[in-house]
Amino acid sequence: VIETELQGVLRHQAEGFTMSSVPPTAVLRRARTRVTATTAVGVLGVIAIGFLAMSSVQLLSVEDAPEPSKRVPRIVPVVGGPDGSIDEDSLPDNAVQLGSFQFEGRLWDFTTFTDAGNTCLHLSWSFAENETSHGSDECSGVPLPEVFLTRDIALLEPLTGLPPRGAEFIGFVSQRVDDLKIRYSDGSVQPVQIIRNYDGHQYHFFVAFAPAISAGDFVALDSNGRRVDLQAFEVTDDAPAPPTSLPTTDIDE
Amino acid sequence: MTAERRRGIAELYSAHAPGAGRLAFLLTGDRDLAEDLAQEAFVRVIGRFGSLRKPESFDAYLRKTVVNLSRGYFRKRRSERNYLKKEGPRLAAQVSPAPDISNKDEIWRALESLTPRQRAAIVLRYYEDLSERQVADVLDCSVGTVKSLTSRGMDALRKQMGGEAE
Repeated sequence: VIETELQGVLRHQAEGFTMSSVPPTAVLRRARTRVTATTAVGVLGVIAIGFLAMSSVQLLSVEDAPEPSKRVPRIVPVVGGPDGSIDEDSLPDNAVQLGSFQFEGRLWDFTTFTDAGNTCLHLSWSFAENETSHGSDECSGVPLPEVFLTRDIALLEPLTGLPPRGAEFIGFVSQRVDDLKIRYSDGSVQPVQIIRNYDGHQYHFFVAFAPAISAGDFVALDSNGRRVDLQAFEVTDDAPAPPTSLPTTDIDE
Repeated sequence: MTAERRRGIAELYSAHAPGAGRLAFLLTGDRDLAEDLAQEAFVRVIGRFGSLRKPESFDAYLRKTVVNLSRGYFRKRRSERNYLKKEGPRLAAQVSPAPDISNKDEIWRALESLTPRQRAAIVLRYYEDLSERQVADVLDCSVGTVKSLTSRGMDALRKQMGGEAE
C-alpha cells in the first residue's frame, strides 16, 4: 500500500514543480563556455602529447608504472575526523574525514570515501565568521589506480588530465601545513597538495599526489623520476587569470 | 560557436532540464535548490557532450549528474552541521534554513527523514521507475546496496507513518 501511495505523492510533487523550459541566459552562456572549453582542452591535449613526444619525456605507461597496490592502497577509515565526528547520514559508511585546515580565513574540510571501487575525494570550504553561505566542490569517483598508471598526479577533475593554466597550489591537507599527508592501510603516508583553478565561472579543485612535491611547487615526474614542467603546456593566452581571493559566497557566477 | 549549435543547446535544455528539475526537487525538497541543481547539471553534462560514450543517453547522464550534485549538496550540509556542533549555536542562525517543503503531506515529510542515499534510491525506483540495476548504476553502488537502501528507506517511511500503511 505504501508503495502505491508513495508513487502518487512523488508524482504529485513532481507535477507541482515547474521549471521554465527556456534556459536562462546565464545558463546558456555557461553551457556554451563549457562546450568551447572542452573542445579547447581536447586540442590542448593533442598539443601536449605532441610536445611530450618531441621532448622525449615519457609519462608512466601501464607497463612501467609502479605497483598500484603499493602506490594506492586502500584507505583505512580513521575513527573520527579532527573534529571527532562524521555524519553518516550524508556520506557513505566508509567516509573518512582526512583533515581540515585554515586557508584565507576559511575552514577547509577534506573527506574521502570509496564508492563502487573508486576513491572519491570531497573538498568543501566555508565557515568564516559572519558568512552565511558556503561553497563546496566535489569530485566524482576517480579511479585513482587508473590515474596513477597514467601519470604521477591524480586529478579530481578528470576532464582536463592536466592542471589548467593558472592552477595554483593552495595548501596541504592538514592542520599543519608542513605535515599533511594521507595515510594508507599499510601505514605508508603520502603528501598531498590541493590546487585550485578558476575557469571564469567556478572553481575547480585538484588534489595532487606525487612522490616528490614541495610547497609552492607543482611537479610531475616521468617514469625515470625526472621532473616534468607542466607549465610547458601553456599554449594559449585566452584562459582567464585566477582571481586573487576566494569568493565570499558562492563558487558560481 | 554557430547559431545552429546554440539552438541545439537551447533545445536540449528545453527537452531535458525540466525533468531534471523535477528529479532534483524530489531529491532535495527545495524548489530553488532543485532549479539550481538542474541547471548546474545541464551545464556540466553539456560540457562533456562531445566525449559522452552515448550522446543519445543525455537524459541518463543528466539524471546521474543531478543525483551526484544533490549528494554533494547534502555532504556540504554535513560539513555545516559538523562545524555548528563544534562552534556552538551562535552561528546557527546564520546557516541556510532547511529545505522549504511547501506540501506537508505526511509521506512527503517522512521522506525528509531518510538519508540522502535512501531517498535517492526510493525516488529513482518509485518515481523514475528505474530497475534496481539502473539505480545501482546511477548511485555507483551494487544492486545489493540498492536493495538495502530501498528496504531500509521503506521501513523508515513505514515507521514515520506510524505503521498505518502496513
